[in-house]
Amino acid sequence: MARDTGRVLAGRWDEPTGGEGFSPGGSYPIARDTRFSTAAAAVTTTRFEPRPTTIVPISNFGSEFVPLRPIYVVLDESAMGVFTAASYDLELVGQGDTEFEAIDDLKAQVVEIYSVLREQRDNLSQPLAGKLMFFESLEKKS
Amino acid sequence: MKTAEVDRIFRKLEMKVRNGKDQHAWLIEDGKYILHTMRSHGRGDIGRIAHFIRQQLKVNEEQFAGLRDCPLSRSGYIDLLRSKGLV
Repeated sequence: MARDTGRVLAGRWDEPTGGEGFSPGGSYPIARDTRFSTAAAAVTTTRFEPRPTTIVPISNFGSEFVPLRPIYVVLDESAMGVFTAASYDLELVGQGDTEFEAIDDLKAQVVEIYSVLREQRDNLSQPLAGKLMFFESLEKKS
Repeated sequence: MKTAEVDRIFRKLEMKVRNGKDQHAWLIEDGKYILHTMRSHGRGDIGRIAHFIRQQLKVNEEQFAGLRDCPLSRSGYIDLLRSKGLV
């Protein structure tokens, strides 16, 4: 099936296994440009289409913050090719050019926000005090 | 939405800005930390992050436009948060 992706590659695409269009449980083959026959011109990208929204658990924050249970993050891609990683529990969002960058950005924010909330423990509005309590409920005391 | 517009909102609301990997902005009223938002460094257009900033600022689209385009002042915004029980 020919499909114009609006990106660098346009050509023949394999369909996801299990039928037409997006299938949550299906697998997504790598996009392959078949317009060119020479090995040099045939390009295989590492890009998968379609890019479904993904929920991933994050537990390694690379800091002294070690949660007992993971924080769930919604990974999404904007039309401009920028990835976002959002935690709706913590009301935080990270962004980056790749999924990993977006997650790393979110992790840095979690560490920063938690640090400020602890510093300002006695000066927090009720919603922020609630957020601090949530952070502390996640934290593993070593 | 441009980063310059976000910065203008931060300035207008007199938010305390902390620079790290990202730019974190805290709204402080009467010595109390009320809410937090952020933007990344170095991008002209912030894309869908604007949607998250609006949510972190606890305003609807119309109120956010008011913050961006100036009709909504800091005192008006604080009154808005007070009406929501956030201040």
